Amino acid sequence: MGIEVEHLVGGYSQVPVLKDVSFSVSDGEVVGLIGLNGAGKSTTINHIIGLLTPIRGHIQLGGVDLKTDPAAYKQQIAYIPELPVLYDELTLQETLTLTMMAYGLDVEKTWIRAHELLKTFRLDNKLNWFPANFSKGMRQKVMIVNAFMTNAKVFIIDEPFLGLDPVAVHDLLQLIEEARGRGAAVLMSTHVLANAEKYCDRFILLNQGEVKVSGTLDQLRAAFPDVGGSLDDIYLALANGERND
Amino acid sequence: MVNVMTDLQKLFSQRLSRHAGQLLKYLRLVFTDHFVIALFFFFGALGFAYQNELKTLTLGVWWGPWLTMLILVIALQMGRLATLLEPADAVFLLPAETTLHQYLKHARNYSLLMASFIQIAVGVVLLPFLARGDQMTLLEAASLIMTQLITKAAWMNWQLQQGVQQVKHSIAQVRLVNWLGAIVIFGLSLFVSVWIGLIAALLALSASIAGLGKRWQQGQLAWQSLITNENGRMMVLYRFFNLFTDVPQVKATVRRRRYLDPMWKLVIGQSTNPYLFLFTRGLGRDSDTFGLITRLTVMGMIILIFLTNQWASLVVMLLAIYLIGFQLLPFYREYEGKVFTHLFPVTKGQQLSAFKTVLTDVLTICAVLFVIVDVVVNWSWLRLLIDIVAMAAELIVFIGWYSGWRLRKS
Repeated sequence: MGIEVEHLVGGYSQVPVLKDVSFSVSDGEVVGLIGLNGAGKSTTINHIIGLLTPIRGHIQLGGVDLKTDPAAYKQQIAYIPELPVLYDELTLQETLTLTMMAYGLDVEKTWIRAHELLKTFRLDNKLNWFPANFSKGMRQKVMIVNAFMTNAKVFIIDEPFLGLDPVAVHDLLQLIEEARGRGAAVLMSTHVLANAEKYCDRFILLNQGEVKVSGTLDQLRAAFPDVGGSLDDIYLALANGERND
Repeated sequence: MVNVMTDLQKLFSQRLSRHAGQLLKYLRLVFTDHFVIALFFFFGALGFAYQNELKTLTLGVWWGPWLTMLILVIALQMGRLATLLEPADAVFLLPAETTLHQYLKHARNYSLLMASFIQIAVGVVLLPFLARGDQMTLLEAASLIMTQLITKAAWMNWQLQQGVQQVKHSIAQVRLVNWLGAIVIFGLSLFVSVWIGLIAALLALSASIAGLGKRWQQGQLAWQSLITNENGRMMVLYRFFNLFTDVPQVKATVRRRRYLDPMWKLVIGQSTNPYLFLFTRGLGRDSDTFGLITRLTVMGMIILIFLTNQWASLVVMLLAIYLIGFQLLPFYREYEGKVFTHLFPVTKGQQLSAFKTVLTDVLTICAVLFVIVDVVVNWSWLRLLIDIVAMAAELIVFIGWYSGWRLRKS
């Protein structure tokens, strides 16, 4: 269950960016998707959320394939994009209402949860604001509230820490932990390795559209034995290897 | 360093040609054949009226100089300094700050040339009035126009000075000098002697040159205000063009329109279709589409007030409804660019049915308004019956068949 990506070949045009990518994220697991700029992290995410059609390979969420049952597939996803995306004509309150309607959530119950989250991120007094009035960090927080007020089974989080204040980063990490505790599968792409190292159960290192190495931190250390203990060291070793190629 | 200099000198002409190309592109869209013909008639009529007014004018009326002063002072404010600077310049051209004065000189010269065209045009149109209303000789009138040009040059220098030195004048101060200074100079011209006015303008020009020269090439640039001013100038242009065509730089503003809230409740009812929620609010608050529908509806209603022929009214009504509906169709794809639109576990069918509901409601409201205007102006039972049948038939065909066909096609 969770996320299953098998032999995925895909990209934006006929030229594949991803070459035979396979990995999985189990329920109750947080997996970090790590790689340099242009390694294919966002492409992978766009495939999983169903924006791109694979050239070859399969993706399943909770055992459901996008092609056979798109509604059931999408029903499970909560997504936080790299850059906040909001509807310009909807107030904060309406944005959250729209999400609840789209996912068929119990409006009253979900609003209780949403109000808690809004309070945490200090947005509870801005329910009537339009996106145009929000700062970059506030928009990012709206995306977080929007994703975590649902009880989605799969969380896809693309580089969530940029532009967030340290308090918000802390709160977000706590939310991710909670989601894991509930049994959700979390896939998170990030460059903030210190956070990834502390909070991810496993890592997938992407390089030029291929899974270079994946596994727990111990497994990664075994794969790069001489470089040092931290995820940072392993990442730099990967980057240097790339440069020398 | 030599290289940087020559490159920066070329920079302004590069910017200028790009700017001119952009203006040309939009001007071509503004001055379409129909618009040019309409303008031709409009200005022809205006010129004719002006000529007739002049004939009846008593020589040397008391309000002549006052009106002249008002026109000249207002005309003088037209034509701003166009630096063609861009926000990125504050980062990329910062190291070349001290050599950028040359660039700004080019910008000043270009802006002055453009502004002079406006001043001369105003002066030429004013000439017959100067001769009759103010009883000026040609030499006096020419020197008045000269005064206008010289004052404009002084004002342009002064505007440039705000940018090259870190002298910060408040907007109120700048306005005061622009208007009060002009009033003093033209007051001298028109109520004392045109020659005194000319001398005053020359003094202002020399003062502006001296002021600019004092710290020219030394002072730092006031980047923030230079770029803000240039952006403001461009936005005025873009907003004008946006009246005629879509300008990407002009972003539609979102308005809350609280008074529409009850209407949405009525439209949505118990439906849980998220697209119904999105389309109603989007349409009601997005100034572009909302404004378009309102304008077309009001225009249709006004035309209907003046039409008595039943069949002509009917054609106008049918056409207006078609136009409004047709302009609404692209809104179906308004949210394709938002990732969440694709993420929602909602089918295409739900999206289409929500759009059709909104389309039905908007067009029905418009149709009802048209029918009301039509029968109120020309009351008869038969007319009401024919209107209702025709509108209903059009709505059924347009929404039931045409819209679906159109949306599938594109």
